[in-house]
Amino acid sequence: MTEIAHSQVHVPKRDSVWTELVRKDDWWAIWIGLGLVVVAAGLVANGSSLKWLAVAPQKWTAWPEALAQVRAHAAQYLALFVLWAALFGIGVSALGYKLSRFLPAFALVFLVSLGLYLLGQWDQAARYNLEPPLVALVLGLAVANTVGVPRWADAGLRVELYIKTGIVLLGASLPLTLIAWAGPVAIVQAAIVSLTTFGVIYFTAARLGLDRRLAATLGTGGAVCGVSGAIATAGAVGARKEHASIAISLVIFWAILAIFILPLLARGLQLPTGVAGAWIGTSEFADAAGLAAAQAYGGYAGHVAGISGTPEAAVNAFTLMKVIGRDVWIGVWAFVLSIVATTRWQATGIHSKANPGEIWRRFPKFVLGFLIASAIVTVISSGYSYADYKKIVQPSLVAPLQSLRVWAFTFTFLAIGLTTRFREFFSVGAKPFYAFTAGVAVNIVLGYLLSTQVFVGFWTRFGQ
Amino acid sequence: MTLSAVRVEAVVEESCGSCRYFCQAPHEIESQLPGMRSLGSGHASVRAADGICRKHDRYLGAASHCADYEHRI
Repeated sequence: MTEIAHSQVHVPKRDSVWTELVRKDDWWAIWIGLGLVVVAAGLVANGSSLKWLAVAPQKWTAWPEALAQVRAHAAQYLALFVLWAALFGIGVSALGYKLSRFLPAFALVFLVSLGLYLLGQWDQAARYNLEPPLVALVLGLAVANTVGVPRWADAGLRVELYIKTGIVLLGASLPLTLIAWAGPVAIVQAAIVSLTTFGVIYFTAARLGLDRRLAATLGTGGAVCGVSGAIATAGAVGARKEHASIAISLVIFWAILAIFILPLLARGLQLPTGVAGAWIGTSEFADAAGLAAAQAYGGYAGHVAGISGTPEAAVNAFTLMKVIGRDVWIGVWAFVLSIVATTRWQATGIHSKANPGEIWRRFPKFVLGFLIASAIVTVISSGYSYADYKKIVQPSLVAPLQSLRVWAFTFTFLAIGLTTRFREFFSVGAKPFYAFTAGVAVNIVLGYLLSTQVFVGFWTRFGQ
Repeated sequence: MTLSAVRVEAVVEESCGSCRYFCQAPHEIESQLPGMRSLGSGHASVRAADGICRKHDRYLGAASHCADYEHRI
């Protein structure tokens, strides 16, 4: 008789590396963003450019002029829509959404974004505070909270896919040398604020008698990277589902308010764009929300008296502070807190083991795309003299990619508004609100002091 | 003992990742955690393989485990 020995090998069920490459929006942002950078670079190398496709509205003074502009470039706008619809369509299909739902929703997003982009080019836009990011947000919020947005439109409102693609494209206009020069300062400033904000939220929550896991989830939501920080920590420490919901709601509530408050305060204080970008990067809670605030503030440069620096400086300083200074550390925060949760906090009956591999697994991979895009353009630029860079590389390679990035950001700002429902904020409870708000207050004041006093010289130079 | 055949059977570890109470689907996560879509994503790398345990009503890593494990069929 044949004897069969069964040897059971316990293997953890985990998605393969290849699955991750198509199932996470971080990777799709890399494929789309870097794909565009590589194609743009290839075209420049062959004496061509992506600029016909990367069409953007120009300055105008009267509506007939604006409409004539759109009519004259209708074929380019149509081609641009097809490009974005194809790229994002492939991405959202891989993420599990139906293309038949994505396309109509995205068509609407694109059309409204064109209107917003056009509005931002009105020569009186700054006078009436009609910065496209803020108008996009207000419009989206108004629609979502009055008439509502049907569920099928979700497929076309992928905030994170749009913002991450925009950040990868942003890498193409930030030289790697600048990232290396400013990165350490951003890391130091962000570390000071992150640790302090986390401490304030965590210990206030603990003093108010809240669960430690909720306190930690709130703390990383406020101190590190908003919803992503909260959700990563909730998973690492095994928080209750409602705790993750509370943290997400509070992050969104304050992040949306900060989009309007921070540029308003910075404008009142007439901060240079680089300094304001650093402050927003230190004190905003989410990438998408912060970029809305930073881009809106950058729009004041040259239009509002007393605000110096370039428009790009606000977005660049924000990105360095938020992405390099805060986002990339989320895996470390989650890992450290998982050790604390398993060794120090009350047991929940669910066992887990802190694993350093989580640092990489939770790493926001789109940051790699941002750095690679920066490296590609830096290497290409190094082969040109400064005069040739301004004559060839800037208009043929960098400017079209900047234009595509502004499109991606505009889709983002509109999608934030259209997916935010105020009624979701009402069930957070008073104590979590107090704890989180204490952190918000400290975060904003400390971020202001570091950006405008301690490191003011650095960020002013950065903006020039 | 004579072994004419040895079958090595890989079974999934009894961790949340293979438990029937555990939900990892990004769409489901987004609908269970209101607001997640507006400034976050169920498809983000930072989420790793976390999910919601319907039994304990907790948001957990897939490698966690407990006494209530039931294999997902």
